[in-house]
Amino acid sequence: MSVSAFLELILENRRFSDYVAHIHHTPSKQADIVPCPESLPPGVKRWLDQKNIGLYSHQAEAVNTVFSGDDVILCTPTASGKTLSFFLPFLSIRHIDPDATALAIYPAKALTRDQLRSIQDLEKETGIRVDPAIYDGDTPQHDRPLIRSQAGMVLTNPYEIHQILPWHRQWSSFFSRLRYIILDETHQYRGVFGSSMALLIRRLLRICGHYGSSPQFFLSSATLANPALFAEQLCGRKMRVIDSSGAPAGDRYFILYNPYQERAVPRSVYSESARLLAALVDSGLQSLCFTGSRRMTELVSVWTKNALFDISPGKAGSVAAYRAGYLPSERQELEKNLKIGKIRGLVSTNALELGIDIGSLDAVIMTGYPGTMMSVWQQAGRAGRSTSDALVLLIAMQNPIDQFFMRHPEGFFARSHEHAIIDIKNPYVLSGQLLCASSELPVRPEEDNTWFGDDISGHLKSLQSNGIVAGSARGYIYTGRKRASELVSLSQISDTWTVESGKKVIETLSLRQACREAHPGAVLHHQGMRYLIEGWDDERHRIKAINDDPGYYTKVNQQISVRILDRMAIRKVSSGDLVLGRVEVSECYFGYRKILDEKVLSSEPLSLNPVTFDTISVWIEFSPLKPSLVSKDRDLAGSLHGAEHSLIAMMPYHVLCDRWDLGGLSSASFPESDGKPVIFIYDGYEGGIGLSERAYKIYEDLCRSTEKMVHECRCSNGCPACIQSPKCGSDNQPLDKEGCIEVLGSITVPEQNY
Amino acid sequence: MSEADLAVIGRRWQERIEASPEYSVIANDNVFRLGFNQNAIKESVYCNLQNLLNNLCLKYEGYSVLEALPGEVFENDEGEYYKISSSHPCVFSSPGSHDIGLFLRQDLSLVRGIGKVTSKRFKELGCCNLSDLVKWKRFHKSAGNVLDILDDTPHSISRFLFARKGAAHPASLLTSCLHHHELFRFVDIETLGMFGRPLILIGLGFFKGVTLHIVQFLLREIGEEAAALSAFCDLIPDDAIFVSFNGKCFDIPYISDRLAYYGLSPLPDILHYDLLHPARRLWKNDVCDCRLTTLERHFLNCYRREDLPGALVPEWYARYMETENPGPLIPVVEHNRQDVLTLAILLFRLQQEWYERLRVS
Repeated sequence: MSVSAFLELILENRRFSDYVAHIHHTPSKQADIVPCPESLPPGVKRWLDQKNIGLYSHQAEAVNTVFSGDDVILCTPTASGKTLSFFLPFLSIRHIDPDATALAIYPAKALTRDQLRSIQDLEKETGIRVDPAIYDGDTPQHDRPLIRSQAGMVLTNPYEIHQILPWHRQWSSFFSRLRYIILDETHQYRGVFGSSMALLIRRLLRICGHYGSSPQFFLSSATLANPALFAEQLCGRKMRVIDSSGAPAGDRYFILYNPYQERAVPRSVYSESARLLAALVDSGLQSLCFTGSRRMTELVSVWTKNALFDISPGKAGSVAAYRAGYLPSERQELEKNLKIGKIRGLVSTNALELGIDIGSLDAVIMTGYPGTMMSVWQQAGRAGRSTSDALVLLIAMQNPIDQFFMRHPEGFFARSHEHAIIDIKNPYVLSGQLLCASSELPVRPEEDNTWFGDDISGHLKSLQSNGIVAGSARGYIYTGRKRASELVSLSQISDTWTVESGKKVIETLSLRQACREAHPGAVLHHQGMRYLIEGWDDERHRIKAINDDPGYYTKVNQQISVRILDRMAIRKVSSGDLVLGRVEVSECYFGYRKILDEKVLSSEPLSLNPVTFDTISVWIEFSPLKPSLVSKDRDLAGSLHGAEHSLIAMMPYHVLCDRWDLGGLSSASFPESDGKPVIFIYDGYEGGIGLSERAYKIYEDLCRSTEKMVHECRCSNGCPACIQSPKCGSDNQPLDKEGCIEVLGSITVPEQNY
Repeated sequence: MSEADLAVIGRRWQERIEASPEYSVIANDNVFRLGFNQNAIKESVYCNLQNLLNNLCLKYEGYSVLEALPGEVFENDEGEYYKISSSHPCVFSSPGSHDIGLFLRQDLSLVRGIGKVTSKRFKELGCCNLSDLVKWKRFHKSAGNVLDILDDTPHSISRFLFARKGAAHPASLLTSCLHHHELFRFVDIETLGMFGRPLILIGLGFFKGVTLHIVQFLLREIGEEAAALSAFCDLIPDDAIFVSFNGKCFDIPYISDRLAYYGLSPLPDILHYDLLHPARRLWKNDVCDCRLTTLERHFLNCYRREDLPGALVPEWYARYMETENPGPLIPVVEHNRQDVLTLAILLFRLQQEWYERLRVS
């Protein structure tokens, strides 16, 4: 059955059609094939000719740009021939300089395996050797020296780069010949991790400079709102953005599907996903279903199989689940079977969102908005073979953002992609990365500011006074009593706590996560198992758990206090002052509730030290001059509280983040702001990660869309789809929906109306 | 950011370092727990060492390095460095080069394609040395090549043996007898860690006649490291030969990494006799571990009164840096000097032992 036939089938059946909120059609597009660039070596041109391969316009542009010596960031959809785009320019480089080496950095190990195969295939086909090799934690010791001296192209990941930079002497030959750095899936490098990554790249470039090389960059990324700025922040260079794809595409139908559609019987998101997937597989359309969690991946695949048993039992065996945590061999087997068409329906976590080559499919189901438009298009891109039609279904959850999209499809499809944020000035990240750099080569503030920025002297002095680096005429020298790359981890800057059951490590958490989810007495869910937390070993950062299911679940009670440290910027909005500044946040976890069937069984006290951290916040101080912020019959505290929740819920709509990356506080009378009503939103990470800065700039837009979302929600007194928050420390009390709308409205109403 | 904020960040790293010390002290000297810990120190030993440290700090309060550890300050292109010199008369004897030459010529397995079995069969046929083997048509050329090499310089012979037998093989060790003993450079370093941190002391021994001269480059401050490394390199001519204990894995790569850290020229690629492997092969059944101090005590008739475990060196040096009291450095320098001296004694002892053993077999 074709995609369009399936579409008709759904629209004719009221069981499904009642829930279709919108269908978006993207017409097909011809391939834009251009003549082969002159700069390619004769052998490559011959190969392209013989195989009758025409280059897409963006591929040729990439080749020409690299050849002219510029750096590139390529933002084209999935399956637009990225491998060839970055590989061909390297062949040109090697043609001129046969000793040139390349470094390809992928965010995940699985991607290097996948890419190595593609590159080896290209090597075989073109007959031009580049001697690619993987070098990561799994590379056997005895293979390493040979790879360092012989490989023309090394495929690795950021964690490995972090480890090998201090060993640069062994890599001196490779680094001195390094001409080309490939960074794939760069949109992964955002937020705190991206900030670490950006400084890691500067460490790498500093070493290259030491060995006399200055490699060119080739970045690939999902579509971003700010590719040029992002690439420049990540690598410290201005780059050419190539974002118009010359690859062909068939007709594409994007359905917004709402199980909570008005005037229809509410359905469960996951069972709907399973039913639709079963229907797709039954119609002969090869499909992929993305779910948000590992557990749901397993469940949806079981339900799909069960549904198929009822309609066409022979096809139930062609459905499988795929997620991180499976053995690599198992995953490769699944990828292969999907590619050759043996698997007709696969349920996956976002593990498959990364660029692993599984070919293209007929249809993709997304269970819930995946959090960013970037992910939406990455996942949607899995559907659609070059010329045939494709179907994409987004099945909405009951949360504010998903429901907002269902009510505003035109806004959804017109939405710009996210801004990827990197902050290389984040003091916690910078301090750690400087510490690592000082163990690679002495750090000289007067020269190394080109890499690490102008504020490094203060950091180095602070490290020196703590005995971690020593000053000398040659610069700052690392003297810490632990290996620098062990001391500083790339992905997280806070301490990690380990949950253990017996001798088994269950998971690692940050201190704040641990306070929320694994405090003494908490019931922790992990991989379908439940664990009761017995106690904390504060010194060793260990949390003891026993495998036990007491039946109830737990929720922590938390009180947040905020102290203003510094007002960095202030601007007027219609109902007060909007401030961007540094704050000290104290989260006090003072108790928890045991809950069974949504009923509180008991409240227990908890004595944990408050978690205190400095971060960046954006807050509004409402003007006291206004007669009143909300009408007389409304509750001010509840109105502000609701506004705080809903603003945080809508933040991911405007800024690339997750609502869990943010924290908030509201007060009807905040002492440090002369008793004015305030709403704080802050970055939930030590030092901040740039989210509040973005929010400061687009605060009115944020308020407008938030007001719209709350206003349009059908509930009467507030629900999880508007002003209730899943992480509220005071159990969503008090809340006032009407007042919340008034508060939000007051911020955006033009001045003259008052 | 204000200075106070930056100080908080710096302190966090320090706290994290302190949360995982480099060694653990084993309460009540519980021997059963010693085995599981890589850097374990018995509680009694640790207490004695703490007493020693306190006594040294009391004794050298107000002293300068120059007064406590007499040496001289020099300057090269990289800056100032501090050198402590001592000399030690050293009676030694090695098997003669002629004897070693004869011994090597009897080793048919130096020819590619001949292993233990073939070698034995040839000897039964009366083919006892390489000169006999040359007469066999099949090995005429290859045995001739080996004989040519054995007539070449000692350096060529050593490199050939290293390549053919492996550097750790006792026969390779015996080629050390062929070299003039003044070419040997006995090397031992003390560092602030296993990798990626400054070294604080380079000990280098070399012969002038029958006197072993030991120079020790001590860092009075970390900033002197580059100058000390450079001064060390100046004493390593291209025909010099390193002698070390586990130096192939540790000391020499460490020095190379530190040279690379400062962008200084790398060490020349010179011969290197690492005594760890020949010593382990010889004595592994007679001692519980093959540490230099253990071998000294059992086979070389030396006994150190108080010795400082390497794991404590960083902490003691840190104490010196904080207080500028040179007391904690005294045992570090002493330990290092003894190590270099022992290296020389060990080399000649191993030459003798292995020559006797291999000749018999």
